[in-house]
Amino acid sequence: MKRISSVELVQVTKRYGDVVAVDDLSLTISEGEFFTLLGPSGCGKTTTLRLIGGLEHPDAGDVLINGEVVTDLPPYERNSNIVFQNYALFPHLTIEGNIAFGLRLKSRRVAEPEVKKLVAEALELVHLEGFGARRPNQLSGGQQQRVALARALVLRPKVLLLDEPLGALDRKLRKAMQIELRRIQHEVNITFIYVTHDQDEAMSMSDRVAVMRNGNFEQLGTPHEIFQTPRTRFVADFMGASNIFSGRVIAVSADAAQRASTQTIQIETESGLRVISRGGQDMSSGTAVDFSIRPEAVQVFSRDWDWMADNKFDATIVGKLYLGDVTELEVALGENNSITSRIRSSIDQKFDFKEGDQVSVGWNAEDCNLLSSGSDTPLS
Amino acid sequence: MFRLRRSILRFFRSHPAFTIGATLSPSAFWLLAFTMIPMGIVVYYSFMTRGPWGTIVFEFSLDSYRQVFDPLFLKIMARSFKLAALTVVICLASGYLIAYWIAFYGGRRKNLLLFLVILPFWTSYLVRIYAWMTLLSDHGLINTFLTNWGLIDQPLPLLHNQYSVLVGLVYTYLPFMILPLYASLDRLDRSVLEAASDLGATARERFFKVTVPLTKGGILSGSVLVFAPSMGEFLVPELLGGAKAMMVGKFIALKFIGLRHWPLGSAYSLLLLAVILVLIYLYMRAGGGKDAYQERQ
Amino acid sequence: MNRASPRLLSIGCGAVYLFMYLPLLVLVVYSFTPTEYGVAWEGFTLKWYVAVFNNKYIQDALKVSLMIAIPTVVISTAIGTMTAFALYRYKFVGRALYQGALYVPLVMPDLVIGISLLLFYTSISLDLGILTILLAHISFSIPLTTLVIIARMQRIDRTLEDAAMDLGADEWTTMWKVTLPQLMPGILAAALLTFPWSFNDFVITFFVSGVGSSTLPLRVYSMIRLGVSPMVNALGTMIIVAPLIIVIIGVYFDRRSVS
Repeated sequence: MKRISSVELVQVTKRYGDVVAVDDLSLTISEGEFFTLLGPSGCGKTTTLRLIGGLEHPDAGDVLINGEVVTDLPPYERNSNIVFQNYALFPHLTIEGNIAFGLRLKSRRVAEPEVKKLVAEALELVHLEGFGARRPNQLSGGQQQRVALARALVLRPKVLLLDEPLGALDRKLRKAMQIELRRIQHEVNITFIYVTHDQDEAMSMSDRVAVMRNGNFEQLGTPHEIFQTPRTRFVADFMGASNIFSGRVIAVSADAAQRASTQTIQIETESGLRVISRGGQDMSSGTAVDFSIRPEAVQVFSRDWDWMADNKFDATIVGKLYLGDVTELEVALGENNSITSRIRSSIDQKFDFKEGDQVSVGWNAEDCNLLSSGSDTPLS
Repeated sequence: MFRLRRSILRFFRSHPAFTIGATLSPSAFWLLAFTMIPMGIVVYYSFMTRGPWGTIVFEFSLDSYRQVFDPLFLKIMARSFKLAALTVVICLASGYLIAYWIAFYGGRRKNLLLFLVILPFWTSYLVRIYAWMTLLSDHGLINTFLTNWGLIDQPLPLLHNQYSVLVGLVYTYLPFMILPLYASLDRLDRSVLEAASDLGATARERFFKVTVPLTKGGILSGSVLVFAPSMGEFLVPELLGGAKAMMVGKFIALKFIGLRHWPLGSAYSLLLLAVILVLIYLYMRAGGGKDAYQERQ
Repeated sequence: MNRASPRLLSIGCGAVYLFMYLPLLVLVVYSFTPTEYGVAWEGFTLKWYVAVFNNKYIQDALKVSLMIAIPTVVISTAIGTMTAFALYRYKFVGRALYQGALYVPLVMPDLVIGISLLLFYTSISLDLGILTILLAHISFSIPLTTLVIIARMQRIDRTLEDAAMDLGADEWTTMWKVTLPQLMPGILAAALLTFPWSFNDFVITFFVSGVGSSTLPLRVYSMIRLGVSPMVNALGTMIIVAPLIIVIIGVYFDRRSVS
């Protein structure tokens, strides 16, 4: 079944004076998708959201919602609604007044009894029944956020735009709200476009994630793809893959024996480390290459433990950080290299690691993730 | 109806110049017609001559400006300057007291206390000056009080001198000093004072080395708001002062009402205005009323 | 109070407040006694108040003052709001200059403003009267209202307007349903500052009024010039007390609407 495109951006550019906030960006989002724009502050994700919503007008390019060109339409003529970062609830109206605001506009021609019914349904959807008569300043942050959500959803937009709505909430509440948002999205089945700088949030809720940088996409894919196989240094770094190395290919071999027809390359890093990695189809000896290894993929054992890995080195523990369920170990390989490993705390206890211990670290070839050196070609 | 409205809005949205023009035109009209053009006429008149019986003869002349450098006028200017400056100093001292008290110790009653400061401003300023007349006159309250208690034999000439004028000026313009000072003090970050204290500053050092510099903006604003109008005051010297307390304002007013020498009066007015504009310029150069925090923005 | 204020500070402040209110108290007290000269208390009487109410000149002057003050407040607040919008929301060439020019009347001495307007009216042969006073009052109230409203604008949340438009309200509806309600405290403050300024203005009015268009302050002035009459005490007291009563009523209603 062919999915209709819900939102489309065609080569959209937006400038503020000399600064290019959104740079020739193109994007297609399917109906019913939970799509997240992820990136550090200043990368253009909020501007992109506002361009879709109509609060900004692009300097070049087009915005389409449900196949219709809306580039020149003001926000009140578009079928999208925004949940703002600071909630933007009208302080001079009650909760009921806030939610009903859009419905009561003359242009919508909704009869009053119908308005009341829809508001009640909306309050139910966000679990705030009975709060109608209160005022925004009487509600907690989490409650205000839900009102903002209800206010947008009650208008049944085709697209819901959320601008870092969970930023002001504490961790536990945020996690609960993430589950809530996902549930609501499935219930109303509309396209959600979500903006955040928190990669955990993006991972847990999205169907697809676009990592943004300097006004364009570094990488676009499912959470799994972004997390496991970041394509560029920037994405790897942003997603917390803290082991990033630069080096040169020194050997290439087609490896038919162990894994089905994949290429293996050997890389020597600038700091002298020799590593075996899977992939690198278009590379030959001498090609410059960056790669990253997720800390979770780096295993640590005591030197006398019998185990196997494609890449295995003798090392010393130089740092240890207990994080509750995981322990982060900073391990030095030789003089020039260090690598971060994240292991389950129970393993750490079992082997009783402490700083100064002589250990053995390693990881498999497929855990090496090759990165393209720059961010010129966004890959989807 | 909607279609029309939406098309009008679309027009305004895509032509911001139009929107600006439309919203600005009323005030622009008033600014032009009732401030700029009248001032222009004052300038024009200052170059004209006075005919017999006070009519204007439209002949160009620099007479008025020559008379401006009349030592009498310059002396009056100097005295007005002095009085206005004294007013600022007294207002600053007493105003800072009040502003500080309200900002730091006001608590929940802050609004009430501020309101009590502004309330006299809402009453007629004429009535307030008149009240001082009754207090200070020879048969006024203070003299009667002192005589009844045997402290003096003859009434003190409290009225009709420079001091009564000073009292009147301070009384009139004190709120103008208190409000900007309060605004500055209210914005002050208390933790900066705590840090100073923590580093060993005494209360007095804290005040002079931290509080005062950080409220520079309020001090300057208040000073300008008190000094400028004080220079041009004519009612206070008229009612509370006498011949000995002639101020620029009254001097100019006389040229118009009594003497009907409009060119001369215009020239003098422009001079007064020039002094004040120089003051404003210096004020803007000194930071224009921005406190230390705001300067960085 | 936050904490007990230092003794010296409290005393100093008390003295300043006393200084501010002493003359007014004296005025009020002496409006109730029949003494004409001197300050002996000769018993309680309302005769001065009766005299004020019966005085035709005062009644006329009051009418004139209101006829000027009320339209001034309405018109200058409306214009001030429009101007505030233009200055705060848009960037354009010469904005700083315009703002400066707009605020100049606030620091110009009343004297110079009054004189300039007198010359202006004379040169266009406009007879001095209520109209000339009204035009003058509006022109010097506009900077004040603009300033107050811009100050309020700086404190309102811009995202509220974005939200309203996103929910379907066009610019016109947004202005009436969201922006103006948010600006209301500022608009009210502007009105509350402009009314007494216009009602009590003396100097400018003095220069631009004609025969028969005396406002209340002008009438008080001529009464004072004629001699220190206790009727002025009574009138003055009423002028002091009236705003107080209005404010108390206003606060009372404000408290009621919150609960």
